Amino acid sequence: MSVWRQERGVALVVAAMAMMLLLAIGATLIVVTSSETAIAGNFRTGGEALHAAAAVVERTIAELRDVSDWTLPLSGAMTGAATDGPISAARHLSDGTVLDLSVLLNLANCGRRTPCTSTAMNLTTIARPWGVNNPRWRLFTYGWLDDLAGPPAQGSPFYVVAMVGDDGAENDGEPEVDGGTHGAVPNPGARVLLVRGEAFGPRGAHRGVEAVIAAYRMDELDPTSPQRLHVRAWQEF
Amino acid sequence: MRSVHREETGFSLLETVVASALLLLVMGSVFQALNPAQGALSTAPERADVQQRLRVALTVLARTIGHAGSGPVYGAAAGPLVERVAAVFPYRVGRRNADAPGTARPDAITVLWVERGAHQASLAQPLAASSGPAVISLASHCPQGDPSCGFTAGSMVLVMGDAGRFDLFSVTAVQATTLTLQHNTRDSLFVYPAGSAIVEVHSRTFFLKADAANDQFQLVRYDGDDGAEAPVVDHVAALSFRYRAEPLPPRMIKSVTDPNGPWTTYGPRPPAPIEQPTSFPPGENCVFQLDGASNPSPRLPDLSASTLVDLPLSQLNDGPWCADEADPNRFDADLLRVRAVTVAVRIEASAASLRGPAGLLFARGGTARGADRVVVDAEQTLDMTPPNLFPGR
Repeated sequence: MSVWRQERGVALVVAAMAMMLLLAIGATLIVVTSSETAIAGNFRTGGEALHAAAAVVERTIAELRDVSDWTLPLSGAMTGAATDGPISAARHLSDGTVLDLSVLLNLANCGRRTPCTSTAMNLTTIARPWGVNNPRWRLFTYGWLDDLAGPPAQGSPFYVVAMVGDDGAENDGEPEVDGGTHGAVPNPGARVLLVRGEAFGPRGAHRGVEAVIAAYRMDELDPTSPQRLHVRAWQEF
Repeated sequence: MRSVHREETGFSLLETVVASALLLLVMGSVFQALNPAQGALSTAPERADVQQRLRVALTVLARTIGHAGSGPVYGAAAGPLVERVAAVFPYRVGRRNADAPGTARPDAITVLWVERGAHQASLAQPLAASSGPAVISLASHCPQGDPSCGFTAGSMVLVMGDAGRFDLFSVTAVQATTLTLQHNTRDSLFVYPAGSAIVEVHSRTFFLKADAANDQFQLVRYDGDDGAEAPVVDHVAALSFRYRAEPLPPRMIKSVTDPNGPWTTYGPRPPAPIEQPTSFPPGENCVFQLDGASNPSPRLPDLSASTLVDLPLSQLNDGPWCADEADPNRFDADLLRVRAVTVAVRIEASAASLRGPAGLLFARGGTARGADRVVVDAEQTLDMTPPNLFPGR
């Protein structure tokens, strides 16, 4: 009788050990699968961000096709048809991140978050090797992708921004003028423009695309001849 | 005292048998509960790994193929590559183990693109299509104060002529405006005239390396020079590329004599009617021929469709050839009309013990013994339309 009493409760120990083993296995599976879900989610939003950036570049190119004087967007005298309010207003992304367009502009123009001086923008660097002809990026289109795309809204959480800048082939030292004169030397950068699109979304998704576009006319001597655009280069950055 | 001793003399046979049976029953139940859980535990990490390798393969391929055809942005050659040379090749291009001209493989792709910010110049002196020095002219877009226009040793350059001719070189040394070049494509007797474009470029080949003897099935990258191949993803069970094409043949936008391009919707501008830079008749090249009125008309057929058309590999190695049939680096002119690439990647479990018999679920058979401990091959197809292959807007 005393022996049986000593062994009472061993089933509880066995059951507890089995439960702990199952718990460990289950916890490991949860960690593996939830990590996998997060990775797959980031992969998906990253791809969507790239397509959103490409979309805003395409939209900008379509708008620029009808602009005969590209000094207007370069100087800030005109912007795209779609902008969502003052640049200084904060944009709140769906994951709580706050987007500051002026910071975005500064980062593009001189690599700093604070306002850029002329000296900083004229600095010759690997990314901006043209000195006084370095592009001065200007915001052209910015807003929620859903608003830019028009109805029906697809529920996209992405905020997109397009900027324009003068290309590095310019030799006029006036990055806010397209194809300015430089003595008698022809300006090889005339009617060539840089378009930069960026998209921001949930989970810190951020992708960018930059395109170099050139305008030409079927008959260059006839200014009424329809203007066409040509994408020289298009790349993700 | 006696009664206690009697109680401690041991278990009877009956007690032992009953106890053993009960223990067996309990332990059997416990292990039955644990077995599927252990199976899931052993396969879940591998399943995640297969998915991760699939994502890596697709990301690397998409990013590279997405750049295909991005061209120089300065100088006389400014424009997407498809206005001069093909940007996508269904074979391996480069200095080491290049596929022979006329090859079209389903499991290999080579992509050419000019990187954003790449250095670009023109030749100041003629350049032979073989290793040797090249002298360049500086232009306003060259980095300020750099006598070499930014070119550095170790980079790869593309030299483009008219008529669809191109050669790839590695820059081995730089001194002022003289670049020492090592030829990465096949030597020829052709000499590029002064003024030809010389541009920093990327050439990247992806292919399936299938080495059954060493159980190596890898997605491998090769960058076209003397460098080694680099494995990208292991245990790739299958890799294939398909191509879709612009159905319309190329057409002229402007006269060949117009000083500024673009002259064609795609493909190289034909020479002036009296010029014969290739073995094609005067005024013609691999994509244009002269009609009865001596005007350029397309040499490539109209594929009679309103959307992109599938191009079988057999159509990518049957000519006409650019620059011409005698060019040792010739490519099929149909490659100039490629607008979309479809990639299919299939990844398998790395351990044979997690793969079942070869068939629908497993490209390569394994040694798995139970259906609860297998990781099925993961396959994904990706359609890409690189923006640089659609230059007109």
